[in-house]
Amino acid sequence: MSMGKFLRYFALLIVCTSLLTGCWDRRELEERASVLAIAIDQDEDDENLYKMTVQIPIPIKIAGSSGKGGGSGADAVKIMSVTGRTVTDAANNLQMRLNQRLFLGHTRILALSEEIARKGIQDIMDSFRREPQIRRLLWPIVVRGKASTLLEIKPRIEPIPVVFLMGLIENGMKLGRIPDQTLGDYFNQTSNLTMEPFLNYVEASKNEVSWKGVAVFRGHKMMGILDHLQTWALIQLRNEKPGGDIVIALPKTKNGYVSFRPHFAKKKVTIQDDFSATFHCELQGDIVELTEDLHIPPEQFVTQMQALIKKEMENRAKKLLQQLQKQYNSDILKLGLTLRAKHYHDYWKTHDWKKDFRDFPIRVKYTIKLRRLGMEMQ
Amino acid sequence: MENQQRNFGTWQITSIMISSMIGVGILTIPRTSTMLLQQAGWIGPISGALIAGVAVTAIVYLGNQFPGLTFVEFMPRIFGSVIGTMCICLFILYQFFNAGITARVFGEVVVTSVLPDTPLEVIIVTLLLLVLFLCCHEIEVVARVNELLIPFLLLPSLLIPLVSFMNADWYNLLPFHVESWTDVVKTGLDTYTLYTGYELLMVYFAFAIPGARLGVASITGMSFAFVVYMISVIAGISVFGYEELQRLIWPTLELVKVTQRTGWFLERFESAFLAIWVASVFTTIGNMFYATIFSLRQWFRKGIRFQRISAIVMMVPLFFFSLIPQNIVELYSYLKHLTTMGYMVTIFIPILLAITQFMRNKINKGRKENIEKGGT
Repeated sequence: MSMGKFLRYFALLIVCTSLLTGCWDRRELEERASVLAIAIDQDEDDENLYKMTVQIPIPIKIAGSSGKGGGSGADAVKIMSVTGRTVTDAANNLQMRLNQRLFLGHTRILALSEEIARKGIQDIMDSFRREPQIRRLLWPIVVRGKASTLLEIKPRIEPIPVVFLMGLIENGMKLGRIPDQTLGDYFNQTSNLTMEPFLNYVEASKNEVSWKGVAVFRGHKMMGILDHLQTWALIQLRNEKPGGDIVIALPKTKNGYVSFRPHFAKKKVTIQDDFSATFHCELQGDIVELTEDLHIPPEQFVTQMQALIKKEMENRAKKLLQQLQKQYNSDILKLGLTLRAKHYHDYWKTHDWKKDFRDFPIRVKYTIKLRRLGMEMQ
Repeated sequence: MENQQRNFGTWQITSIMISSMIGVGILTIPRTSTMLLQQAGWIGPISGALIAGVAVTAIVYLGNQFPGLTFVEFMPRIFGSVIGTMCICLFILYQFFNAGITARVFGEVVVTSVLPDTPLEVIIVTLLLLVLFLCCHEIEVVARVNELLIPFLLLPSLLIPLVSFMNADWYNLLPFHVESWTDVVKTGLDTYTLYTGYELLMVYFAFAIPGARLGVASITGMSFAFVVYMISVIAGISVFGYEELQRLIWPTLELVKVTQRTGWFLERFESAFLAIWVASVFTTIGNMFYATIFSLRQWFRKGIRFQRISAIVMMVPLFFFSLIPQNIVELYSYLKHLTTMGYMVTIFIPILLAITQFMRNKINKGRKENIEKGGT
């Protein structure tokens, strides 16, 4: 009786231990080489080869630095470079130099050099589309010069450079100054017939990295860049994000400046019957700086400032449109999407947007609502 | 044959219906319904539901006409024993193939997205063993399992698309234009497969408590499934755009991956989603295979022992059948053939049965009245 019971329990134990051990893909955290960032450059010697640089954190160094309090934080990551004919080929070559298996599930940054972005990145993106570990939420970034410089920065504020970079982008996103362009967005925008993609553009020096604007693409090819002023106008008109502070030189003064901080942006796109588009953009914000007293009554001051900012923003938008339409011929404003959605039969069907965007009449009208003057009374 | 107890409540019937319908189809629905209809892809689930709805009505009618009888018993009564037997064979074969292909698709999803190094066979075997375990029990266990799992299935499949609306661009759904209505019909014939599983009600209706409202149960079931599919498609189109959807093999899974942006409580939400989805696939295959085995048992008028043995025996060919497609492309071409077979089993046969039964009732009634008239 008790023997039978014992046997039953024993059988259960055997079954559990043999079946519940996990599966073929069980891999402990410490058995993975987690790649935090990938940078892709063209090889200097051979034009046909890609150079892939990865950043892998060293777990012991990170754990140790927080306990001991600082120290050699700069070496918390390992940076490795390999070459290959394709991205996968390079990853293969990299695996041969690693003790653990490469794991791309935590990759957050994909840095691309401007050089290869200008040549076209369709072939690079294919493996990122197929690999199930890759997250659509990672950030592809175009880097001026060599992409690998972005991984080699030593910011010192964070032990892991990529974490610093991620913070920079995330914070900029929250402030509404840096557009949130993920890999998934890039995929959607390249597939979509009505729009073109863009990616964030940064410049890295030895110790620092700085956001410079966005790289505008046409298809999978980079056409050029928009600097930060034009990018802020872009994200106001496209994403309804406020963008950064607007600093304007005061007219009729020697060296006076006024700074306007937009807090909310709203836009509305109308398409007129003669097929021209008008972007109405409303900015709400405060004056945060006025370096020279204008000696005018407050009511007049407000209207004057609003007119000044409006003129400045419309000029910036004009330059933005000039660049997008004439220089890059790339609709990253999502205007094509609006046209297709609202004027499918009377416009979209009879026109080739990829060609006609260049000459499509677009106007931008800003409405500035100056709400407050900061802690000063005037 | 011993008399089975009829003790399925209305909600149990509903949950059997929902969990039989929602299975592997939910992962591909945004792609399949936008293939021809593009931005207007959300019409797909509607036209599919309309096609399936006719068949469901027929099945409910049959269920009310033959309370306590499964299709094994009422098909020969309506069509006569020869055609009836053929229909039963066809039904059982279809369920068998469908269970096999569903298990295979499940395996493919798991292998490509989360466990690339695990052999496909192992994934299918573990799933089938669980199904086998279910098949060794009496039919009321099926109802209880379905009832138990239904909240786990419904909640995430409604919640995930709703959360993903946060990164939606509504202009992707416009313009509303339908190029040709034949495309709508074609898409409907394709998307109706999402609702297949309702034909199992021809088995499970027989065990409803006398007085259970079959009509209410099936309308609730259909509308639940419809809402789930509808919002998945709308979420898919508005988040990705129809062009990108054509390039994604399992768009709903991608949708889950992008949804973690909100990052409320879980990073890597897709693992949780897949875990829940395993349950929904299990109920789908379980219900199908149980119906197959149970109809065999009824057909041969045997008991639970026959059921257990035949479940074990049938599991072997089922397993090997699921391994026949050599690659993912071949798998989808098999799935297409199965859909064609499905039209016969899940649409034509129930509707024909219902029409025949309806006509027979009319004629009998007429005859009765004639006799009554003659009597007076």
